Amino acid sequence: MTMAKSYKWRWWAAGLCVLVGMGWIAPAFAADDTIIVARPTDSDSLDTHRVSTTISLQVMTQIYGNMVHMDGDANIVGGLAESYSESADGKTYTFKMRPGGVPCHDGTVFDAKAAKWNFDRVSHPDTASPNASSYGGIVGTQIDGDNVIVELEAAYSALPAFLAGPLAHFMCPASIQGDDVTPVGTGPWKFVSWDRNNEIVLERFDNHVNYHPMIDNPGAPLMKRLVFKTITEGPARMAALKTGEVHFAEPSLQDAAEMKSDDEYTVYTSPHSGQQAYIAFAHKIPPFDDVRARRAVGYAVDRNVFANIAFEGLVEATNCPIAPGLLAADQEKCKQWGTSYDPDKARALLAELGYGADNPLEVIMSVSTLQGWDESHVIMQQQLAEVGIVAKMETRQFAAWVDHMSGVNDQTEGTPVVWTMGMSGMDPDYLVFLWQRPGYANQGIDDPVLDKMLREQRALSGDARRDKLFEIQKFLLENAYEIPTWSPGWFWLQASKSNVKGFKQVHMVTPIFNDVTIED
Amino acid sequence: MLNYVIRRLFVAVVTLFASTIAVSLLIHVVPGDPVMMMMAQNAAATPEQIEKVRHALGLDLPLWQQTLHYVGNILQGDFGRSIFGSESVARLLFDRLPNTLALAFCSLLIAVVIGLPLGFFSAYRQGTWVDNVLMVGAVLGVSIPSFWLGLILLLFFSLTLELLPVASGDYRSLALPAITLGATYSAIIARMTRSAMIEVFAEDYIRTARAKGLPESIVLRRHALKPSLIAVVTIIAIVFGYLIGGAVVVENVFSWNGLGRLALDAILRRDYPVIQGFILVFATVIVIISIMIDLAYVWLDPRITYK
Amino acid sequence: MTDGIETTPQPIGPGESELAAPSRWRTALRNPRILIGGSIVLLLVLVAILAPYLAPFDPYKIAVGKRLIAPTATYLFGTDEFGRDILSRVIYGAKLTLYVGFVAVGIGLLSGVAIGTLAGYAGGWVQAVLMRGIDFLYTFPDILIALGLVAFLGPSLTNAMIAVGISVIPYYARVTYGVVLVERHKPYLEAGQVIGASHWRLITRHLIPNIIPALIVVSTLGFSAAVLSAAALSYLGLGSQPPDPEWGSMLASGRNYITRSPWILLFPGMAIIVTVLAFNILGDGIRDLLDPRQRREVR
Repeated sequence: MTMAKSYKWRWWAAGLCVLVGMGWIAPAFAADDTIIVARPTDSDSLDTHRVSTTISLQVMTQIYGNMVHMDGDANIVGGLAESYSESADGKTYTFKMRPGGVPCHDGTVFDAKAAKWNFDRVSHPDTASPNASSYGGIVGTQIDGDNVIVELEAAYSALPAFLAGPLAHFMCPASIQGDDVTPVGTGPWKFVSWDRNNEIVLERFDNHVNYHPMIDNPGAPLMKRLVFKTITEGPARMAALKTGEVHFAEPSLQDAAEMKSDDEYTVYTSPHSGQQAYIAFAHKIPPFDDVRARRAVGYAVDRNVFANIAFEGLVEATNCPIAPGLLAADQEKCKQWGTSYDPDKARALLAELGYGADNPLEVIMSVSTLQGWDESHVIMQQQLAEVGIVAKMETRQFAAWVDHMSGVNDQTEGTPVVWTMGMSGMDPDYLVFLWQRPGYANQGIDDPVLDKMLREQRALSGDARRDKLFEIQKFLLENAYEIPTWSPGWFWLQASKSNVKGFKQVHMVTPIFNDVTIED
Repeated sequence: MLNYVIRRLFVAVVTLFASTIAVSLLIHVVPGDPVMMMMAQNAAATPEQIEKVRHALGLDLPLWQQTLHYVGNILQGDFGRSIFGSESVARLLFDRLPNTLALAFCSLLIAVVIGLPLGFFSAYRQGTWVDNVLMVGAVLGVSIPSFWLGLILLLFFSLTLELLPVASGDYRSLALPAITLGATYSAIIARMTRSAMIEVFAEDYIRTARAKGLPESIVLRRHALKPSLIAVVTIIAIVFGYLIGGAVVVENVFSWNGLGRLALDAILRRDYPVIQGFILVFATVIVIISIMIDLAYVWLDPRITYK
Repeated sequence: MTDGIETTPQPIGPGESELAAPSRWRTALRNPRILIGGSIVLLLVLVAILAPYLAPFDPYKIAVGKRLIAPTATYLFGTDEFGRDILSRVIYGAKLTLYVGFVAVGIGLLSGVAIGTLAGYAGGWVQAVLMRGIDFLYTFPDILIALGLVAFLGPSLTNAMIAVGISVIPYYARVTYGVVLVERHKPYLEAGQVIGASHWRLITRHLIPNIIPALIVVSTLGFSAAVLSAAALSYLGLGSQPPDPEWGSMLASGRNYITRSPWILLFPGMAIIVTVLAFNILGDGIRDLLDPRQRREVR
């Protein structure tokens, strides 16, 4: 093997390699009319009746529509339905659909029939929708001309607010063919393709008419294509944003803090996130079946450190089970009912239960991984250690975590478990979703007092409802079933270069791309 | 010869068949219930609904029936559907296979182009300082964790220089993962090549040729080339097999949409049909490679015959 | 990911074991690889044992005011996102890493030797079934096997060790099998069978001692592979859990900070490299010493 020969070979090989790379891999889209969004995980499904994760909702918002919308001041206005009315007993809602309907991507129209199909499918037991409880127990639906009439088993004042949110996207019925989901909606973007774990490609829907009060653009989006791309690793996501491969990326918290003061980038937060993170317990396993043990954990943690250090000051420490900005989220009141950082009180409570320096309380911290949360968990572990609670961390991917916790939350013996989670909503009614038996991931509390209050608040409105929600929060906080920590906390940050204009996030960290343009 | 190929294929089919059964059994023995996993998001799921889903997926049948069903479906080209999102597993797998092959092929090229000459040269000059230096480099190469190297390259080329893209999905974003894997595997190939070549050089016929006073270039070309090719083919085949399934971590660092990443995701979510499909596809590729190696042996070395 | 494949079973006979012990030691120490690799390994073991005395700071202590300090005289390796001293964490991490390596290799070695010996010694259908299975598993990259196992076992350092240990069983089984095949037909075993020694006695007294040299080589090299696999698992969040200063998980938790604070990435990575390198060099050295074929000079 002479030198010259092997040298030539290398060049051939290198050329071949490039050719292969070009040939096998589909070329990237021309970037000028496409918006590319990078995110850490892919959606679970695009069947609106079957998923509830934020990462899925953020895509479904682009494709589907809502019966009604909520403006920046929490007023409900028309959407797919022009208007709605509520019966005096609060048990019947009548939605007046728009005359002639709203165009679907496939050429059909979204009318009263389509609306009824959505209500029926989501409330049917076979659908097993995670969101079913938020529809308020539908007992019947009827069509009367352009009207859809929905009958509920009990009065439910928060139904319109729920219907305005991303958990209640309505699909055009053509979306579901047996087991296959082919998204067809009325939203600003048409579904084109989904390469799982890689990208979801959407295309502008030219016939789109906007009814959302927080979106300026009355018609179709300004750009032609919208691509959601999964880039798992934070550094790779940042690299993609910097090299201009993607236009939007969820930044790392440190990068976000830095980019805020950098003219080249724009960082978007989410003022209407409706998100609330909290610590909770497998509350049937001793000693967390005792309120003192739960409160001890509450006194041990310093939520300000989570917010300011772990989250780089990008979130706020909060005290209420209800997210800031929603009805009855009165931080001062909640602070009185709940626990604030006081390690001595924590130690005293633990001592009452027989735990101390020579007999530490050993627990498992069961968590799922997310930026800011990972850091908070390490800090939390340290804070617990300071009052004599030895916490062993167990980290899982979110779906696996929910699966695991569904089992653990039902157990009555074993190693005590502390866990963290977050929930968001358009309205405080999400407390029902969490805490009424069985509750999300079986976390619900089988307590007649709580159940009654959760039911009652649905029938109330205005100040009476607010007071009931105070009572519920007082119950949750005094019993320390949950220890609120921070808000917002997941998928609420976006960053783009500053030549990208017109992006905004509306309720429940829903990204809106209708008005986005990219300048040269 | 033909007989041999037929027998080999037969054994391959039996192996794949047995592995399919083994895998589908194994997966059902381990803890963790895919239906619970699916329904976990669902606060309102009643035990009856869970049973219904289980029935729909055929998970309520006895194990042997499930296995039989699975094997039967595979024979009809049906790999089942993903538990999440209900896509066809075959589509999931075959969409990613080209990406994985492209990455494996390019990494392999880089690794071979660097590793082979160095290993050869190192063996040829065994014991000299050149050999020592090269082998220190090679042992360093195999000692660097690929995800670490990947992150360093990412930090340097993409974040600092803003030069190379990472996720555009075109050939440019192939560069960093291919270099990362290529670097690691070039070191492995260099070490393997050196070991193999040292044995070749120690063969009696080479010593004889040298003793006869033949010029070194003729000794190498006429006597050392063919046996060394056999070693090289083996090495390349082994490395290629590893690159197809073992690139999980690097695929993840660079968001390369290959089989490895699909497998990782499926494993984390316990998406059994996808895991089973992946193992089957992977095993098939490996079996094909090993048959090809055997045939290459025959072609390269007339002394080897198969009966 | 792994160096395992590079040392595809090469039966290494007991060859030079007839050498007298003292001279063997001298020969060993004259080999620069054994000397260098061995010294670093020894050093690592010392660091692991003496960690509490060597570490300048508490590796777990969060110091909010001292976050992300670049390397200075006080903090030689800088501090991490929690203000913890990275040097101290790297030092404490040595213990975890060596522990992982030993347990994983131990599991792989014991099970692998058992399977390999049984298959090689028994022959017949036992051999056919065992080695078919092992060959099949062997085609899978060990990181994939480990990943699958740990996903089912649940995330923890212990489970990661077990998973890595199981994932390398095929490797040890094949090496053992290869050596046993060579040894089985040697006169000492056949003689043993003739005089009616029990199988157990033949295996434990005669066979095993003769395959030990080969196993020393593969375990040393396998140690590196195990450390790399375990680090990768921790990097993927499936191995060690916070706040343990395992090097792979240090890389994982620090990766979002690398743009401005690259030292978070640098030092734990270097620690992994040095460890893996040391065991690789040591393994190479021992192989040089024990495998006569590799030592033959080409003229």
